[in-house]
Amino acid sequence: MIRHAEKESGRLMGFSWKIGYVDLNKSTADIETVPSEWRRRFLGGRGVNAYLSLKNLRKDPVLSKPENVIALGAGVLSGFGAGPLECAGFSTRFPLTDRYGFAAIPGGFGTGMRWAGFDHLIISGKAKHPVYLLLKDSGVQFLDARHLKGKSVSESIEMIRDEIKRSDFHAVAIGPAGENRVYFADAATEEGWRFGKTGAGAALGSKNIKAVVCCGIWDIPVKHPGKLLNLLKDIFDAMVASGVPDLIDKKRIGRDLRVYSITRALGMDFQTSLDALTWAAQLAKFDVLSKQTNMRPDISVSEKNDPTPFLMRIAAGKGSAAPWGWGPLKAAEKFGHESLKYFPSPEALLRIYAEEPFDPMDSRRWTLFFPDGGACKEGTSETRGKYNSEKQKRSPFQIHGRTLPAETVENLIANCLGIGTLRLSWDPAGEIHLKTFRNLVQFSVGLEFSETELVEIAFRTYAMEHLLNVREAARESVTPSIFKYFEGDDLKRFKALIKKMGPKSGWDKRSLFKKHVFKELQIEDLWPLKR
Amino acid sequence: MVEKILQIDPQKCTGCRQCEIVCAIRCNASGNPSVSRIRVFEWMKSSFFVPVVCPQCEEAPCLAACPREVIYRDKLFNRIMVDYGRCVSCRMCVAACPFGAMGFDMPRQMVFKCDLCDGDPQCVKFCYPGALSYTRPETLQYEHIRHAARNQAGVKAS
Repeated sequence: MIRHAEKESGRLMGFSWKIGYVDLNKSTADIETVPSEWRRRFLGGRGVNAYLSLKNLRKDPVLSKPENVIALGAGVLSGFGAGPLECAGFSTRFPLTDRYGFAAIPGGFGTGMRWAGFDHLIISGKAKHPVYLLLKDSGVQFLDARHLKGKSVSESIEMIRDEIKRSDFHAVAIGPAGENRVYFADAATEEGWRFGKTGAGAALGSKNIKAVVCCGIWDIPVKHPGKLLNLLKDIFDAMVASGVPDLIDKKRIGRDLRVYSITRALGMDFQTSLDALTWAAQLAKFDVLSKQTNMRPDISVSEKNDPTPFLMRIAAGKGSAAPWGWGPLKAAEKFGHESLKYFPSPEALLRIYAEEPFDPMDSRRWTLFFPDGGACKEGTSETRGKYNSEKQKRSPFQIHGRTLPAETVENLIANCLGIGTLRLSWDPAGEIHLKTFRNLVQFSVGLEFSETELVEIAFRTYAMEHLLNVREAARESVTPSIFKYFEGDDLKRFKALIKKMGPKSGWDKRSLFKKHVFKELQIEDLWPLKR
Repeated sequence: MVEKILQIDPQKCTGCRQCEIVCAIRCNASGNPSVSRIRVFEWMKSSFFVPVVCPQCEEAPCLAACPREVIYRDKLFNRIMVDYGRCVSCRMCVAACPFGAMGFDMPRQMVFKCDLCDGDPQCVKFCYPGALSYTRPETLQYEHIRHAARNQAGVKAS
């Protein structure tokens, strides 16, 4: 039977991957086929998202303006029964970090997109009133969502379920915080997965999108079903046998369960909301706001008080509570720079800060211009902690003549190829199961890659995001927005760092990229990137 | 003759639907659950999930309804099979099945039903919560006996 099925799949492999270009201004959607050579250059998901963003994202997009582009992409393994190994991608310019970034959407949303007939969705413009997008049978419907305004994620999804009269759908939706552009508003899937803690919800809200819903029964041919099932069974067995790391600090969750459930309903990131609460309590305790700005916070936050009203005011995004929804750095512009000293997680605040000279091959420094869009980190921190002990280990992979550190390769692969939680099955001693991923791609999609080619694709993806962010930073030639977070010696050091990084990154004094950068990345069709 | 049956315990089903997609991949080389031989239904939006699959009835209505008598019982695996060489896709069997366990694949123009994967059901292999099992009939009640015994003894499941 399997042999028969494989033969059948060969006949059906002509199916095409589709991109939907959604223009919310005109409520139209153009559908194009993904060229097959893109699959070899970018694989899918995050890579194609970055490439399409480079093509479509206008210069200096501001969150509130329609120029900002949101790219949604199904991961390469979506729809192939890979379960926890598959994920979809959400790429845009995130409000909290003010940089282009990526957030992984765990669960079955990517599969849902494929069943609905789409692999990628590029959303531009802004709807006149709240809408939700229904992707169905390779078409896009723009449905009125005014009645969903103010509803929580779960309430919205329940109402949508009743409206479309189907239960077999996948969706991402935002809560009130996203509607009101809270900078750390996240979004969630119908399965309850939350993603995009640096403002995916605000990005969707800024376009008046309440939800993106997928339903359909589009065929997804599998190249080698028997081999794929055998490999998946081996991987799942290994994952179950190794056990899932204790990803959640149960004590903290227990203590802050109320905040967790409130932020979930409001559609705000849990950790950043906790930081905001603690920060507000500290500022109130030391009376910082009245000293700095002659204003007294209308908050009553302490360990004993119920944080619900304060969080609801943040989510409403109006009045004196609004600055708390802008994130610590922007709020500090309102509260005074002194207030940052009371922020509870300085390491989170300063993760864009780099004291050491920039090394383009050092992934740790890449966070300088690759602020993560708030991917689901819970699955990675545990293994990353183990892996870091081996970070001196050299990997067998080279990019442009330089041997990459193993840690860099790990980050590249895990972050750029959309492997979901496959990283959980990685050997903490340092072996990267790239071969497993290569086989998964081959058995499911039918594309054959060498391991080096996969690393190159991952590097290309990261580099394209890098180009987007450096372009934005470099254009602000007088006072890059990122400089405002530093003072005195810190600012001098950071400016020197930027100066040193420019030539290495391949951009000239006019902040235009040199052609060789594009050529090396095999995206010379996008040169010159002047927009 | 393999005397095993596919047993479903809805109380253990989490609604992950991995069985659906694995079945579609194995039988149709397609990640499309609409052609899956096993389907998971959510009971009245209550997060209670019920997997439904052909129970290989002793007196099978599909077998009785088939006008060309192409549906037969395969005694090796104790299952109901379709002789696709003689089937005309009239879909009488689909209409007759009281469980909705038979379906029709439109692109291929053929009816489909669970064939127990020739004695190695993939849905069972991929059901990590243990809602599906392929066991001998005489051991069906063992799980319930163990559960009742644990309750009576006040012992928690390990």
